[in-house]
Amino acid sequence: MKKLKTLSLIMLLSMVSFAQSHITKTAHVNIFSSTIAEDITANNYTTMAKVNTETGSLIFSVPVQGFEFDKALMQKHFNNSNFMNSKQFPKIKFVGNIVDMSKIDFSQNGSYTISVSGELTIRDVTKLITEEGTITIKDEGISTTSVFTVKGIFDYGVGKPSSKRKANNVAEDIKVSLQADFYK
Amino acid sequence: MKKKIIGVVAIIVLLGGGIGLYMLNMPHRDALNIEAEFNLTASELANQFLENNKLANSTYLSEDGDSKVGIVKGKVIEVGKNAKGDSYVIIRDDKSFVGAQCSFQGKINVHISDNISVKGVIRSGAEYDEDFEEYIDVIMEQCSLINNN
Repeated sequence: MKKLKTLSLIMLLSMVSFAQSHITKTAHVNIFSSTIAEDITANNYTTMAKVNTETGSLIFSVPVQGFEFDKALMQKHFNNSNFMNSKQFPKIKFVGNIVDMSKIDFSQNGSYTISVSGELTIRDVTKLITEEGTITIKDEGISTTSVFTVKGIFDYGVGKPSSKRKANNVAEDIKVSLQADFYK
Repeated sequence: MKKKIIGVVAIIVLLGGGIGLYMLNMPHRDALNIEAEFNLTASELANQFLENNKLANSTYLSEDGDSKVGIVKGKVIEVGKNAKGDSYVIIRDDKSFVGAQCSFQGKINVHISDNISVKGVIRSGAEYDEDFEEYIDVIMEQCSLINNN
């Protein structure tokens, strides 16, 4: 009988922990870069994201080749070994945490400005970033949005070395807008 | 003689300009119009990435982002739509933890447990991700339904 109790407790706990993790496989990521030459933008609709409402962990996995540009040639350059090298590094990854978890009440509808801190990995180069975003709890589920700037993308090994780079061709800072809806 | 030279130069300039313009405005490749280079179950394809990630990446991914186009088949375990409003499905072999996530161009009418074949372009391979503590499926886009049994 005791065994049964323990077993049902374990099952209950595992169900609770399951409910605290929410996954989406279709988060939307937009990147935007503005230079004197032109504005460049691309969209990605196949990003996987996971939020844990107990621990505050937030993870994103972005397939690099999933970025769609207006111009095919731009898309080819973006994937090229000199730039994102997507054949060798097919994913961009972010692993972080919501810093100020205590202010979020997941039990009722509401919207909060949050700070998220964690490791961004591009081309196998990992850097610590802290950005602001919004988390909204509504009837359909949890929604997260953020607009931030990835600074100094060349430091991630993206693009040619500075000595060979043409000035102003690619902006050093890339504006990122993301939306991940963890709906039931 | 002078006229001839001017003519030749003009032709070269026009040709060069034309090629340049074409390159700049080159249309996107559409997986629909490309012959399939592989035909596997979704989980067979995913397992190739799990078994030897380096080999599978070099087999299926292209440096310019126009990676291999092929056909995958499997049982639908998830159907939904993305932020653009386009449908996507996840298909796997029976009892398999990993397969392919395929995004369509527009809406499709399939249901959970349908066995389907899908043609599309690979964007990224499958992997076990320790941070997600989950298998991530092969990501395919520009998908079209080949058949729905």
